[in-house]
Amino acid sequence: MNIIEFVSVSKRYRMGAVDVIALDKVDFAVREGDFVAITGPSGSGKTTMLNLIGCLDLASEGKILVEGRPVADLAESELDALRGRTFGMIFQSFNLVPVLTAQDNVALPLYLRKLSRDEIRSRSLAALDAVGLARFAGFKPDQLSGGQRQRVAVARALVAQPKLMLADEPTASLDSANADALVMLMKKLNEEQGVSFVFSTHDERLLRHVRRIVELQDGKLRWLREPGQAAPRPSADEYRMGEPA
Amino acid sequence: MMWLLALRNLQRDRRRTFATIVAVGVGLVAALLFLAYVRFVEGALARVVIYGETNGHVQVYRKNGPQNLAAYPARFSLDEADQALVLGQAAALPGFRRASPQIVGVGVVQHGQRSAVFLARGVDPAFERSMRASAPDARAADAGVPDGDGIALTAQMMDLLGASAAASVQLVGASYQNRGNAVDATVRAQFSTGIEATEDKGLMAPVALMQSLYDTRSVSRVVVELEGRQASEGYREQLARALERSRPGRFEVTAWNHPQIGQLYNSFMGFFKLVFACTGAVVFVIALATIQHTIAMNINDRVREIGMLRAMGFSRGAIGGMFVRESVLTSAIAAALALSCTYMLIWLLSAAGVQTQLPRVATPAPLRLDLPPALALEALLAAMAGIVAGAWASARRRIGGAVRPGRRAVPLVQLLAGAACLLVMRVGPAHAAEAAPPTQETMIGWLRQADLSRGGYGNYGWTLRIHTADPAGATDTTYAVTVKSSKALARTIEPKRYQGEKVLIAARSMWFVKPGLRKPVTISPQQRLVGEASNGDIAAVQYAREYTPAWQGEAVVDGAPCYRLRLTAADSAATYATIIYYIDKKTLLGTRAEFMTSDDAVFKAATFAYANRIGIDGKDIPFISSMRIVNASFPDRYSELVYSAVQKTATPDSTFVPDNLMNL
Repeated sequence: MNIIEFVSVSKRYRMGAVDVIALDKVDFAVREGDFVAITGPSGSGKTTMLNLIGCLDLASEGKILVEGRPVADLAESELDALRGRTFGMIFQSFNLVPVLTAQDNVALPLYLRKLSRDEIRSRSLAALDAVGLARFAGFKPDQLSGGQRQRVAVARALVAQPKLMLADEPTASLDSANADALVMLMKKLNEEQGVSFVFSTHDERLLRHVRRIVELQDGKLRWLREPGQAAPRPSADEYRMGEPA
Repeated sequence: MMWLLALRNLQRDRRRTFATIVAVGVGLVAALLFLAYVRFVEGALARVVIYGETNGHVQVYRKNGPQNLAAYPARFSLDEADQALVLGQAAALPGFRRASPQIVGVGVVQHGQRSAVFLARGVDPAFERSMRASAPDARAADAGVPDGDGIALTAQMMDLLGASAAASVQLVGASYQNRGNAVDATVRAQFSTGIEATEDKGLMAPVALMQSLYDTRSVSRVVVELEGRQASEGYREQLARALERSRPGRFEVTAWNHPQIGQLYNSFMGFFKLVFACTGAVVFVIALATIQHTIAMNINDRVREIGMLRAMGFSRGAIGGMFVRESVLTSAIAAALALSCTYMLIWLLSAAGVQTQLPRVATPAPLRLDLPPALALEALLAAMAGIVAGAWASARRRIGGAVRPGRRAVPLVQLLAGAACLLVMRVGPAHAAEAAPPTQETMIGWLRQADLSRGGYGNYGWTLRIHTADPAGATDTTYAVTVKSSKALARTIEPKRYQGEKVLIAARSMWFVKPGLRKPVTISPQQRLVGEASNGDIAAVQYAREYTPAWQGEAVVDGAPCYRLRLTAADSAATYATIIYYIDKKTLLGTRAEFMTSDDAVFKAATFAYANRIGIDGKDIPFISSMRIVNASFPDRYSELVYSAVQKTATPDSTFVPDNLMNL
């Protein structure tokens, strides 16, 4: 089943007197267990696409379906709930709360659920353990390295057991060793726990590991590559719903 | 968790948090101190009204007495039966402590050659002493309470009169029958009215002495002291109901904060409450703006974090709630600090023994700020609730990202320019210059001619009957008047009871004697003789000599064209400071006079008739036959002076010597 489905989705912004087309009639889908990279030059619409997938923004045109339900029909509170139970987000700059410990940061999404204090504690520790940081539970972000912070961010995204993990340039702030470690962690989670991933990246090291790549250019979906597929790249029109023509 | 997060968020930028707490805390300290000061002033003013002015907590008047007692004392006083009824009913109600009749009035107190206007309180000395002893800031119970024929004067009054303790003085006033009267008294004590405005007029005397001066057995009111002032309104209502059952429509019961009783209290508390409301609003706005500014900065600093929380599924409300929690914690810390600082400052001020001069209150009072903890908490909670509501609105708006466009304001400059234009348009062009006025000599000539027909500059005798009417009743008094140039002697002929009373006008001074007085009482020309007539009105007028005229154009009086002159007294001995005088253009007789107050308002007006005739320098000229004086404020109060048996006389100058007055 598709977790996310884009049907001819466009997104426009108004900047002063100019209309900017951030996404232009994009068709796209993410299935359970996918490990998808969105790539493309700066300003090509990667972050916009992630925001639309994560229901942080609404499409100007077209239809976005989350588990078959049109997002446009959902109320603000339903969108909030949908985000909480469906997605886990990882950001380029980690976005950890500096005044909370690693464990408290990881526990944040759990406070939206009616869980006991003990359960929150055990689940957040388990998430930290899953990313290899259980012993850093009491550390604050400024006491951790960049790689550790990003792993805390992964644990935080993971702790609520989302159906889809979204990551915006997750390795951009990491050195190569930490970037590799993060890639291996994500891949491991995908392969062993079946966690779906969609992330935007320029990082070729990361792209080497992905099964599907979506390339955007000027808001248009230029290329969709399946594992093992090589150039020449087919046009987007040859793909519907993420399937090769 | 959200509270913990909010608390930890306060530590992100400690300097900012500290500055916010200080700004809000200082504002709250200011508001709390001002609230405490307002309560202190309120309590102090209430004590002045209740104990200082001996108004007690509740007062009983005749119906409409508070408004009319000064103008119609006889009509709105409580007679002996009223007093007995009120005292009995008052004592039967719970909360009663004591009650006493009081009489208030005005007059002139004279010591030697000095005199001064007094505002008198006639009190029961025992009651006065008890009231003082039970006042919250109890003063010496015996200080300034006179007994017997003794009176108490304020320090300023004693200075004005040059009187010291045991000095003999004379009190002059108009009786309830609207007749001049005087009594001897001895200065026994010094007191303070408590109020700046009356500190140079205060006189306190036993009720019996004031009743003797006003020739009455009635009193102005009965005052009741209660166990505490909180019960005032309830007691007032009960007493009013009881008295209404006994004598319907007869009485009016007031409490100490009635507009007519607690004028000082009401005027200043109204002002202070307004100032407090404005100050509180300003402090609140500053505190709110500070908090909102801090929230705005925090939100700007944490945009990524807010995005992260939203991505996790936190609603905008939940995120706004986090910022509101931070505001609650900030303002709670500020409030706790403000509360501590406020009580510390209050304690320090009290310990330092700081004194303050309350508005319009004569004596300084120790500054004891009054802030009950429950009230302080209530005020802080109210302020915090407002701040939090504002913070919530601010957080919601900013996190939502959409700032609603504000209404376009009209620029202040345009408003001011518009107002200025309206003002300019309102002011029309100046009127054309009027015709040239007559010369000073011409006007003095008219005045002299008018004076001749009112007995000026000659030696005459006449019988003057004064009929005075006001809502309290009418009186008739007849005088035998002898005038010689600027001097006059009036002897009372009727009623028989007042025979022996004499008024002498000579050398720009006046004296009054009556049987029983130790010596003549010097009185002012303005002192009322009876009704609306002043002592000066019985004498012949010499306006040409005593006043300086100024041209005021022409007017028509009773169909006759008249000159309108503004007469200004050449010296303070004149009966009136300013008169607008109308002189008939054809006959040069004074037809109308308007007597002005110092702020240029008419306080009474007189019209004249000239049915008598008299020969002067071989000419038979019209002579005054009647003069009607009407009170400008109370048209139903007037005096009619009828002149009869007008004749020329040859009175010796010795008749007009004050030393001979007792023997005439």
